[in-house]
Amino acid sequence: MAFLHLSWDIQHHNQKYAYRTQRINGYYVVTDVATNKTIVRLRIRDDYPGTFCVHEESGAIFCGYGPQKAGKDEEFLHLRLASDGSITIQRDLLCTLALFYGYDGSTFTVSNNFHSAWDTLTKHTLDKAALAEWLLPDLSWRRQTSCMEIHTLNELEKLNFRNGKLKLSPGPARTWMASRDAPPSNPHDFISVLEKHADVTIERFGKYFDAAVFELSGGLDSSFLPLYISQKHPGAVKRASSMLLTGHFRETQAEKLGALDQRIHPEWFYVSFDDPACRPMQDAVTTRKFAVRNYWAPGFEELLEHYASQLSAKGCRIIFTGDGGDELFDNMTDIEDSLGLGKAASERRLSESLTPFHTEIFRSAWRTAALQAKFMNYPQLAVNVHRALPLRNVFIEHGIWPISPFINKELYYFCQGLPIRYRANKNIFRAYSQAKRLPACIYNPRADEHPGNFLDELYLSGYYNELIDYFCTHGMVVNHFGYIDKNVLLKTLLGCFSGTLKAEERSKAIFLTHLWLQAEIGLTQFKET
Amino acid sequence: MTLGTAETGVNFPFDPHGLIDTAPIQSITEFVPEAETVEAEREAFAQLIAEIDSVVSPELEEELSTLTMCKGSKAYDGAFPVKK
Repeated sequence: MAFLHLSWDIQHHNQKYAYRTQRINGYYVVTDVATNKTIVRLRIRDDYPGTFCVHEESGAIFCGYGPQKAGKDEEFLHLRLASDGSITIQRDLLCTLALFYGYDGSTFTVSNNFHSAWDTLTKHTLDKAALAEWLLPDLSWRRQTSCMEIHTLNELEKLNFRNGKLKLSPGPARTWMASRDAPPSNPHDFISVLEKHADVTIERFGKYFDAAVFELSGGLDSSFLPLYISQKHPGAVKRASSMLLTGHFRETQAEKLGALDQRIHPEWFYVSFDDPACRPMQDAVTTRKFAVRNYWAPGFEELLEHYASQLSAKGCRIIFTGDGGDELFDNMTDIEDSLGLGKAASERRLSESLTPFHTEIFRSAWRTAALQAKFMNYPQLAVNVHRALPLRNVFIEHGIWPISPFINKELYYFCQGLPIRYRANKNIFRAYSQAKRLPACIYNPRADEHPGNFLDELYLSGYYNELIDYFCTHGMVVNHFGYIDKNVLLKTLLGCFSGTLKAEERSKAIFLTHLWLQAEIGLTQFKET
Repeated sequence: MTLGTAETGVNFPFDPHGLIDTAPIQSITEFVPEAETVEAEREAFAQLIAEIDSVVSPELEEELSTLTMCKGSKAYDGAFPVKK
């Protein structure tokens, strides 16, 4: 069930509203006294960042998470429901909770859960530009979803809904647009700046360590904080969890996790990418049950769902991650291109290497999508930080709040101000790790693992063959939009099976086939396209 | 043309790699490293910074600055310390 869900019927917008607040089954529930309809449901959460629901003297309802009077760097969400029926929502910089809002002319909805927002609305129009992004997400970041009536509420934005009208106010503008324009930083300050942020994290969240788990992939980013804490506070990192990769990556990942175990000594929890009970899109494969999907979905929700539920059952209420670590050192040469927006992105998409089965019709639509993308303001944090929202959502719905020491504007700006030679290959972070005598396999790994080979194995096993055949016959992308040439697709996949394609080409073809299937499943929910 | 249905058969056994450590958890105490250790770390870091400086020519710096993403760029092939 959604962490936060609001549903507002505008038919009674001329009334003066009276609200009732109750605590029901772990939720704050706000109802309209006159109609007894539920308007807001917000999960009660005592652990960080804490939720609240206050009935103000004016008759308004004020609810959300984080401090009720939040400072500019604090994590919060504020939702106010006034007695005249107007609704105001203010977001923070971090936007840890995904937030979708939608309006179909009769109902206004806000939810962290795309499915819940979808189910609340009666009108769903396919955003064709979003469909192109669905098939090839590029680096895009935007407010659209696959449904034209549903958008995301982003960094520092304020949304007001009054008398059937939506007003969106942007947050403050970013002051520099390319990495080369960031205020210069001194690389020799890196240790003190990084460790200052780690110390602040420990100070703020140390009291939650008993209820926390540290997500460890074996990579540099996720390893940093638990290694740092373990050096400074031996025994404080009590639990660690990992999503185990498959094939030859499992061997190199195990080497890293083993090295971390030697330093941290946590209790470990694992899930495995090849868990046969958590295969991506398994409902679609086994029952032809096509659930609502949004292109924001991470692609392996089944495994994440299992992972989050396991951690929740173990009492985990906070998960520390390495999210945003890579983005600290990105090189942004053109902010619009980085966001997948505008002319620069459209031009790049003209020459981008696609697969043989993506048609020129698709390329044209993909280029147009970059030009049509809507956005209010350039984000102050790194672009990809916000793209990770759906991943975090799964944990939040299981009562586990994600925290990363790297999602911090001051740290991001400092790192972006470093000369390129220190950011390239995350050299300065690797230098730090070597100087601190952290395990060499972490900062100078034999392999840069990723879950892609798991997907390769699953596709090559034939698991998705029937689903592929089904959508080659019934799929809208193939048969209505003409974005994928099904004959070339099947020929390419047969090349994957027979081993005639090079490994890199094979992985790309399989990954993009996977995105295509996800898009086809998502499209089945639209009555008219 | 169809792909037909191949054997699924993907059922890898779960292997925890023997990493589970059941050692008792120690109480939370702050460990303050000795000043010499901190100094040695900072010196090692400064040397590595100098090493990065020494291998990056102005031409390479210029090339890197045009790349949109720096992680694992071809110029460094993901290895550390950086190679000449």
